Amino acid sequence: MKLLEIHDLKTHFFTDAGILPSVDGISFEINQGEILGVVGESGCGKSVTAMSILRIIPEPPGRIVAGRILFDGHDLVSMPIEALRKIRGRDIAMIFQEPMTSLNPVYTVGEQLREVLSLHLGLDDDAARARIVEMFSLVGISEPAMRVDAYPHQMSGGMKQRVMIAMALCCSPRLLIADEPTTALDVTVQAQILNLLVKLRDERGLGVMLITHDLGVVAETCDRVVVMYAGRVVETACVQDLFAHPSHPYTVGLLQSLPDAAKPGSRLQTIPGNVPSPLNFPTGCRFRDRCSRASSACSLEPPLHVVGDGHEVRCHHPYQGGEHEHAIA
Amino acid sequence: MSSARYSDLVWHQFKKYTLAYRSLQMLVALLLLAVFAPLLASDKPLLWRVSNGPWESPWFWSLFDRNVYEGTLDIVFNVMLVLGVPSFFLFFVGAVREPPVRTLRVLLVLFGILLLFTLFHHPSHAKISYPDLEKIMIAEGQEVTSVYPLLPFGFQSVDLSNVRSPISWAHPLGTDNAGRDVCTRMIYGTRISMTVGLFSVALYMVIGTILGALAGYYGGRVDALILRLIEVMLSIPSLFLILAMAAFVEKRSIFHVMLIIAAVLWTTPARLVRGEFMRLRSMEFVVAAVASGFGKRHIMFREMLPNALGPVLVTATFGVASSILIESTVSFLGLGDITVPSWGQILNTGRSTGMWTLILAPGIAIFITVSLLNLVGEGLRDAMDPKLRQ
Repeated sequence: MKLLEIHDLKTHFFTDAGILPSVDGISFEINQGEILGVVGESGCGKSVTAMSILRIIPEPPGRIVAGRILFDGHDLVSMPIEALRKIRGRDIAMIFQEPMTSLNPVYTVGEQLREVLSLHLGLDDDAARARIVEMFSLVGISEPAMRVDAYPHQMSGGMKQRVMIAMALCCSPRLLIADEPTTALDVTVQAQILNLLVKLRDERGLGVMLITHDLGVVAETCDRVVVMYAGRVVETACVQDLFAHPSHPYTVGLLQSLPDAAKPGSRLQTIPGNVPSPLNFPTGCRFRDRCSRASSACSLEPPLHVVGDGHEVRCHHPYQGGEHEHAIA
Repeated sequence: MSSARYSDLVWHQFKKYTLAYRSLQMLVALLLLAVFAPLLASDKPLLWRVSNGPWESPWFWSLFDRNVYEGTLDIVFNVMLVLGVPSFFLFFVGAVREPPVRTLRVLLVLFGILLLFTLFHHPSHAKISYPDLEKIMIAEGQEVTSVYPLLPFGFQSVDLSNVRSPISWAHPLGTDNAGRDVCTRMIYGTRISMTVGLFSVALYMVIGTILGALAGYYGGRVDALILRLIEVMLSIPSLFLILAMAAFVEKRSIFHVMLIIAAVLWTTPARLVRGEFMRLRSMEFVVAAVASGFGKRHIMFREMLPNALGPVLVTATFGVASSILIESTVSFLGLGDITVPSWGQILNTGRSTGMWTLILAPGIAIFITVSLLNLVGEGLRDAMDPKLRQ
């Protein structure tokens, strides 16, 4: 069942230097009980997409200029702010990248969760406390009853991220947007938190939009993947297809830059150049300046190819069949 | 450290700065001096008995007497005195270390009732000079027993037979050109300075914080508007602005002076809070609060403001010092409230009469108070600086 559908979303930033089309016409959907990975280099519009869903982009300079974001059939983009506020935190929750600054330093963590619970569920103090302890043990915080009264600075980064997740999940949302939830954490904590997300997906049918630039994380946890480049979706596929038959040259490049894809002893391959500045994206395919397969046709808008079941790519010269194997070899 | 609250942390750290901590204690002592002024100096006898008549306490009833204490400010302090003594015994002598909230609430309500009562209460018999009355009665052959405070003078009681008297046991700082006891006036002047400091700072902190918060939160046009307003205020030399404003008010009371001070000084906290809010606006916990569905008011005042208050509190301490200085300046230049015995007024009298006690006493008092406040402010600033914490 489709939980969230994004249709042709455009979020632009209007700065003194010019208009930055950070998100420029993207479409994808998230189903119930599915973890959707959104991958891409820094600055490709992943976070802006996530923030556009809840309409929390800093405004000005940012603005959603076009597109629809359907949640349960209701358009979040045109919805009045009061109605959206009831959805934020209750039906759609978000966890942020930096656990160190995601909690308010002046309140205890329990107090911060209590406010969310009383806002959305109207729980009184005792009920809220019971619920918080329950949530804390769910996310794997040891001694949950004692941690309720702790201040953020008394907790480690991993602990704070768990509190953030508990806060995001305490009103039983149906969609969780996780913006690089594990980037700031060490590897063991990272694995625990990702396992928790998988568990919540399986047990509660939670839909998750997992933003990351770590393809390892994607391979382990995601069901489907959206690859973004320069504000556009270049490839959408289920996770097996993406790793087995990547079609877009950019996806292939990303996979080639993984250390484990390289043969021992050989140099690690990289994608030449940098992500172009949003101020002067190339016309047509935005990857063409860095693409080894680019031709003159690439200055035109690339067409959408359906490569397989649910596997779509936006490219003039996609890799087909096992073609990419040769590229890697 | 038992508790981990930020305020406790700062307090714990502050106590380590001996100089600042001692300064704070001295300021509290000064505040107590302001509250207990009538116990030290009053021309109303604490106890009074004529012949074998009943014991009376004209002093006690004069505390609520609008004819004796004309200023609302003094009445407020007197009510604090009356309620302060019993609560002092209740909480400290009675060894109740943590005053229960309910008792405090009862005291607050009592304070309000007593204040309202005294503000509208005008007894008719008040304009009696008890020392004169005593002389007359003794001359008439009546037996008078009376107990006066240490300094048996009112801060307004004129004694033309005792003008410009030098320092003596009866007048520790002499008398001024109208025969008023300078020491008494200095003690009551503490009330003025404390009120000017605390009240005008409280006033402009509220104004400045709200405007700064709006500017920092909304940014854009709101910010530009408030910022221009601040810039206009800043571009006028503040002393001239104060003098110009003071000149426009015809019957200046001390509250007008406080309002004028607040109207000039609000730009400092406004700029500070604006900056803090701009910094906090992009902090992830604020974005997270928006994403959790909280409204603007909650985000501004519950999430952001407590995080912005630290530096504001430090400037507030310095603000008290500068407010006291400004009041003194305005009074010294003759644009203050001439009915109150503020330190600046005493200084002004000293300037016009050339009496050195009238210059030195308020001068030193202002110097000490402002220094203490600055020391406390600096201690507070250091205590809040995480880099200086060990």
